[in-house]
Amino acid sequence: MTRNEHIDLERLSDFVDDRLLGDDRDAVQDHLASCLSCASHLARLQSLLEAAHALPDEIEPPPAVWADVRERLPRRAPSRQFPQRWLLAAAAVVLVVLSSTVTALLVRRQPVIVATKVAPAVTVASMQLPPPARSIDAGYAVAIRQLDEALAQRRAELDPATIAKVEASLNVIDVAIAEARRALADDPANRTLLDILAANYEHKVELLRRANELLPRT
Amino acid sequence: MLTDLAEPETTIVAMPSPPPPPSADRDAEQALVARAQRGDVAAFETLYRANAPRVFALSLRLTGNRADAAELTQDVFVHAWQRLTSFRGEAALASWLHRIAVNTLFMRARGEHRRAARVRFTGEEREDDAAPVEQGTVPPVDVAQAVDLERAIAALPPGARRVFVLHDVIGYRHEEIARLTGLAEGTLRAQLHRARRLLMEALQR
Repeated sequence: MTRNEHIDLERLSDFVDDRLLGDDRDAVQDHLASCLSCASHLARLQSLLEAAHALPDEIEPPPAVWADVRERLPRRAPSRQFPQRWLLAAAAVVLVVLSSTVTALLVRRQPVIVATKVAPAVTVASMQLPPPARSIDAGYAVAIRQLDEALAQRRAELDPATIAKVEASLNVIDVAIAEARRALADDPANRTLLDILAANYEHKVELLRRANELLPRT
Repeated sequence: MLTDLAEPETTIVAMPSPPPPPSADRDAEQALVARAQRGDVAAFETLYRANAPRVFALSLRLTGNRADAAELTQDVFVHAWQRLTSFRGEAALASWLHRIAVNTLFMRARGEHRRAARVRFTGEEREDDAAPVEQGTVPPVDVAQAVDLERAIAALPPGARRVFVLHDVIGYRHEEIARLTGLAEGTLRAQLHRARRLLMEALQR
């Protein structure tokens, strides 16, 4: 390129993209310093690129799009990994405890107070957990707190034996939750453990909800 | 390459993506993702409402028209629902959706290209993904009505538009675009120069 020869757009493009090196780059810079036409051309190109970069990130889609998406979603839940056998067994234990508790509550038999002795849960700080586990914790925290508070306020209205049974079951679930959280702290990428954690929280919410339903209507 | 396109979560090259949400929003998003992973459609709808405008903006610029953009947006969210259990939460959901949108578009474009190639006569070149275009050989493009940048981008030939959007609007590097599109480096640069030239001409009128 001679000093009097204008720079074509391809070369200017490479220049603004920082793809010219050494002498090539110096030659373009020298020419731009003395050629108003090319400098103006460069300014227009830079203005275009700034405008392109500043385009809005969001544009509202037509309202019908969600309806079409909803229509196309498979009816089943997203596919899941199959849990390991020991985890299935652990989940089954929780389900058995829950089933017997709920059954006892629903038929209103005089329940036998089960002094369930469980090992104290190993507490794992939230910060030790992977983000998906923390979000599962957070996702159930509000519902559990509300159900807990509602039950605590009217605890005296329930049969003490029923309360004992509910608390024993909650204790078992809490141990299962703590165990899943501890395992997730050791194995943060294990999706099956996340599933188990979420399932245990679901069981806890369900048990608290059923217990609240047993309260006399005011 | 096709594996990358079909499985966006396996993409190795870091791509430009939307900025991550604040941590409180991120926690809320992950709680919604966890619910949606268990099949909760209401949670998925909330995620859709939060992310669809960004996906639609990207789709609109890549496709150049609202009907195709709406269809691509649909495909992105249906695909996201199907693959949600593989979303590990390591990146923001918006970044994951962004990759699905780009990959889906180019998978579709490659499929169309292959179909077109089967019926093309020998020696006949496709306009948008053709070899490097030299100055003066650009096919006529109707940009007369382009009154702003968005409209001018939409009026670009598809190949030039996609490269321009990926490089100059989103900020992908040349090698990333080459990997996504299957274009050779020289072709890609020619498409980019062509897009810039056409846009400068359109916006000067």
